[in-house]
Amino acid sequence: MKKYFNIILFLLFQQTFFAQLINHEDVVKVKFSLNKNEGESFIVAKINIISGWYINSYKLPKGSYAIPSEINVNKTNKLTVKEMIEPKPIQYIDKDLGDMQSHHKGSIIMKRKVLINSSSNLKVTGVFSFQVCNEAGKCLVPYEYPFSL
Amino acid sequence: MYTQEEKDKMAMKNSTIDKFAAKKGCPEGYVPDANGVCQKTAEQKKKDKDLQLKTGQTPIPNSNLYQMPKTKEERLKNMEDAKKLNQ
Repeated sequence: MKKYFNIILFLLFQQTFFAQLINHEDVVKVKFSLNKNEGESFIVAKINIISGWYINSYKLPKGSYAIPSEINVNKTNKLTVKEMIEPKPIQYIDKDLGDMQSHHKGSIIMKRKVLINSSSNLKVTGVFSFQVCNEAGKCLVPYEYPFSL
Repeated sequence: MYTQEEKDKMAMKNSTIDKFAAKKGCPEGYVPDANGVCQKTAEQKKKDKDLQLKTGQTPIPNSNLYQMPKTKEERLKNMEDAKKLNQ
């Protein structure tokens, strides 16, 4: 009986300490793909953010302190990295902070345009970098998801 | 001194802790201590300071979360505090 009581106590103790540890993967899920077209191609990031959380937009308002979300591609002479494409972000002025907030919620698609110079043995690698925060003003540390396509 | 039975029990208990920590894991920048509790690495503590300096966000104790400042003044104060810590 004492053994079971100890196990329950141990599990409760662990839960208390683990309760405040959140993995990025539990909040933001990203699926990467490479859309090859003639002339221009896109690295596509299908991003799914759980309810109550958001990531910042790529383009941030002037003077913003936020960490932008971005698809960074490792340089190679087989491709030329072009601009980022993102959906229209949610924007509003935070009266207390006195600056414009710009972020994305829910399911979104962000793209990075690339020009493929040579398709032979092409391997596109890089990271999706972001910071995720919730509506209570709590954030996880800025993070990167690597991809290899 | 412990009897063999007690040693076995302790080994089993430690093994359970290890399995639990391994299953649950610690987020990047954290390592489990002897009790299986995730603790920040020195590198992560440095990252915390850098983040505070850049954004004014401060680490929340016993978690891997950071609190956003609520006001412009709080942000500036947090950034100033991080600057002092780096000096």
